[in-house]
Amino acid sequence: MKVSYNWLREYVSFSADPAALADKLTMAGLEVKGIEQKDGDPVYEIEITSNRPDWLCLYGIAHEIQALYGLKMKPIKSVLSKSAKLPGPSIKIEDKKGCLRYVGIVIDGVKVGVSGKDLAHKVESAGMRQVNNVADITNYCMMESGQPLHAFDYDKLEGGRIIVRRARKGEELVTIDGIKRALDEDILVIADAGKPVAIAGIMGGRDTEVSFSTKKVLLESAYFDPVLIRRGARKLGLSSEASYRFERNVDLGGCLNAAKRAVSLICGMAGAGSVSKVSDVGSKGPKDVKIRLSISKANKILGTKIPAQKCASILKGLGLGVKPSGRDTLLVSAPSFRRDLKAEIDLVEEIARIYGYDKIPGTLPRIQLWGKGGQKSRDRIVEEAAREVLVGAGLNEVITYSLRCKDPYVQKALNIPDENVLKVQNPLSSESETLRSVLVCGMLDVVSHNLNRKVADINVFELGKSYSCEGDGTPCESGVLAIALCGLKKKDWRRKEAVDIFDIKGIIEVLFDKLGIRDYSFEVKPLPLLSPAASAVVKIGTDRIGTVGRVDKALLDKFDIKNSVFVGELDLAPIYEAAKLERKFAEMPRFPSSARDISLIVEDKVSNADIVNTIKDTCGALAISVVPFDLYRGEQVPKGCKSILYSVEYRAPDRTLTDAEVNSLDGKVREVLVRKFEAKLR
Amino acid sequence: MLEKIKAIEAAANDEMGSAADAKALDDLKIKYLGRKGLVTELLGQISSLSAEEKPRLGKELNALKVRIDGAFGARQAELARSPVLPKDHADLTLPGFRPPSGSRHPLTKTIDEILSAFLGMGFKVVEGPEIETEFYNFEALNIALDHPSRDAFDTFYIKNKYLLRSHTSPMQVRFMETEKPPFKIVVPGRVYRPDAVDASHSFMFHQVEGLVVGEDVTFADLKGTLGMFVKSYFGAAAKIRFRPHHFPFTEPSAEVDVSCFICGGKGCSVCGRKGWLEILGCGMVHPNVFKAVKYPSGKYTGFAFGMGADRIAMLKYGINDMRLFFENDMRFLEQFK
Repeated sequence: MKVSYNWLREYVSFSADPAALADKLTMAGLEVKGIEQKDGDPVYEIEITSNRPDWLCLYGIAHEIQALYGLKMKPIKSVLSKSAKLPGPSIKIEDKKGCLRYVGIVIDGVKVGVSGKDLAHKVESAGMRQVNNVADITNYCMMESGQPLHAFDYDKLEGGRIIVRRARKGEELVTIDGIKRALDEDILVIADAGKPVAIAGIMGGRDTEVSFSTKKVLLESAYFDPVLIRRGARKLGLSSEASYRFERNVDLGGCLNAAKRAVSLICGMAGAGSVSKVSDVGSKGPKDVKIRLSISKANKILGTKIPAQKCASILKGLGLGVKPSGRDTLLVSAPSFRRDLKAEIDLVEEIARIYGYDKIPGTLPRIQLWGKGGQKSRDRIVEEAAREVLVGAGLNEVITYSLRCKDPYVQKALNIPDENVLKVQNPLSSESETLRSVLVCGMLDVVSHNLNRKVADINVFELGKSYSCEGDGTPCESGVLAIALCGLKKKDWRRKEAVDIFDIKGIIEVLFDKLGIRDYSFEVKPLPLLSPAASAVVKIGTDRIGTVGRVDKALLDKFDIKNSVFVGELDLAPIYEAAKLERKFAEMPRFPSSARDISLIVEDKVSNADIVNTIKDTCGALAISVVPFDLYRGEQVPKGCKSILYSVEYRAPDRTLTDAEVNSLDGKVREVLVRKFEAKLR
Repeated sequence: MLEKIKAIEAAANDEMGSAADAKALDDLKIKYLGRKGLVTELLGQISSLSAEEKPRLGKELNALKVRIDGAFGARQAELARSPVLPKDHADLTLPGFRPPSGSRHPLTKTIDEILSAFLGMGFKVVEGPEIETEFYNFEALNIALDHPSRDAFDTFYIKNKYLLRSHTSPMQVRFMETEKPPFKIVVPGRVYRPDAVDASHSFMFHQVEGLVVGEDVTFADLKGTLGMFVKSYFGAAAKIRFRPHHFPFTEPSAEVDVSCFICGGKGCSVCGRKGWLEILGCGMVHPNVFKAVKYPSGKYTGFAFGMGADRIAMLKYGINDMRLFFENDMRFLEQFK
């Protein structure tokens, strides 16, 4: 809100200069965002929090200055000097919940013209446009007291009547901004005998607005229901200085005074002839709210020792009624302009604010947690360990959007039914209308973003979430680790080596090793979105926890990526569950081991796992490791076959194996391999 | 004898001059000055000389020894200055082979650093769901439907009244529903609001929430705790100020500014010439929130605070565009190694 420094001084005479006052107001919760000079008058831009509608006017801010500096405010003068002869206007409130009070006064013989310099400056200082003297006075009074007012050209009101009611479906109104608005039952309107003439609390109608030819003015000062006004303004997509205030609650008790003030100004400045009696329909304003405040409790909450007398003077300065009751209690009554004050805690805040947050000391909580504090959850500890391993493996951590565009191709490939995809009902754009079911698309976005910028070596991971919808409609979210590799893994002046599927597999293996997960395996299997030549299911025990592989060309095409990309996507919950970060020392082996190499040619379909498992099964615990160390397909090997070399290490826990023993194990292994896989030994 | 001395000296100088490396030079030193060396041998012959020749030639020989020794030293230094490159020498001005080294995302790094500051003060880290209900996101936090205070919490809705949390505060309620005070917790997490993406806005961002509840927790404790945090995270020179503000779920409420660490409080473009940077919102837990989690009325007091990790990371690293966090350009990410 824009607030003129000079105008403020008309209500309370403070001596602080503009900068000092700005600082004082800021530190009391009226944050001055900026100061601009307007015709030699410093004008503040103040951010008013939604709980303080009473600050949406100069008089309310003057109250604050009164309390902050211990000053005394000047009352607003509103004298209706002319004795009322005309009867008050006819006002009927049909929607009594929508409009609690309606004050109307008719002023006859008005000379509508251009406002004087002072009025014009004030209206413009508040960021409003000059219209004519009557309209400017209504805006001036709204800025002064916070009560929005509206002036009708009384002669244009059919039947000279005011009816406050809901609009009827099909009714229309051209508002003063010249736009035709379609109305319905959700909209509260001011109508005359025939039709709506204003959208209550939001904007008046063009046809009944005060113009330079207006002679008779009907001045409206009313209280409209905040929720109704808010919904109406949202529905119409229309808001105004008035609706802004009604939404936040205006002072039900202040309607009459605001009307009188405006009428007295119109009489003074627009040379009115006569004024009607006041029609004041509905509630006459609520009673003051009584709140009991315990000084010791206030100090206990704040951690202060503010004396009762100081508390009392702060509250009085804010315009509240204060009566001591015993040594520790104040009986406080909050008038209708402070409807935000409902309970003791509200008063505690007021005391703290005016006393000054900066005067409250800084201490530390004296609570004993006895081992309940200073911890992370186990999941978080494992997550941090995983992140450290992945960064250590040379990957760069990324964060991609959880909200994405629809991805029919991926959804169809993964066989995800439409109802399992979570959609945002009010998306910003189609680019962010669903919650991702998988992370792979975000990873490919990262790859394509970098490739488009000529960054070709990409190695990234994300620890994020995927989202889905259960059969019963319950949404769920689960932690996922995604990895993507593309380009070169080694690039120096001696070597250049492209990443391949075994790099991403190796990273996952290192991750499992470091997390103490032993029982994992990779099951070769064709999978959606991945190339059938390189894809596997990742398992812990017998549970499938994720997939790894080379991204299928069809999916890469969707992202316009020409390079090979390897991705892995693993569920975090089973990893967290299986992780074992504690370590136990084991005795080093006491007896030496012996190694034998086996070179064999087998058919391609025989997997490394088949061979390793066969060797281990044949030798039992004596074969402590079986490691492939060369793999060859080519000229010297028959088509459809591969040559593969293994080093088998033998050791017994309780003795040194003799050469004869090792040779016999080696012989048995060879025999089994030949028999089982039709292997040719070399 | 004198001729011999001259011949030895000439030969030694000649041979030293053509010695290719330190090893060859050492061998020459042994050849001339060693225990069975040529000079030593001549010294042994002195006893057989005449009495008048003995002192003169003795002196000459000793002088020769000193001269050859000096020449060795000089040649040694010369060799050291211009070494002959061994065949397998490494040109160490070539770049080293670097082991792989990745980088943390600046946001998770920032969040971790914030959490560490609070872990050190005995806080516990807990996390909550991103998909929430209106009850946890609004109602239990004293945020009324159809009230302007809700404007600050524009929210993405998904089906069946579920929504994407617009702040991490719902976890306050979830935690208090199951745990009894006293406790001190911090809650990091991803949050969502329908803000169009630009340099300083994003529909997805990150917060760190804090909550401390006990029988005797005061506003002064809030000031002290956040004061400690600011000093440990932003440095001992950082100043802090509390400005009254309004949040529906706290009362009294405050916004917290730290002295601008770019200009030291003098005023610069980063702090908008104010000398202060707004970094978090906080306040005493509103009694209505305690009521929503069914804590006995009046028994407990507590404070809560929340900060935007994205904004803090931007300030800390001098990042001027929020979109950089989510574009994941490798040239951006690798700066945070």
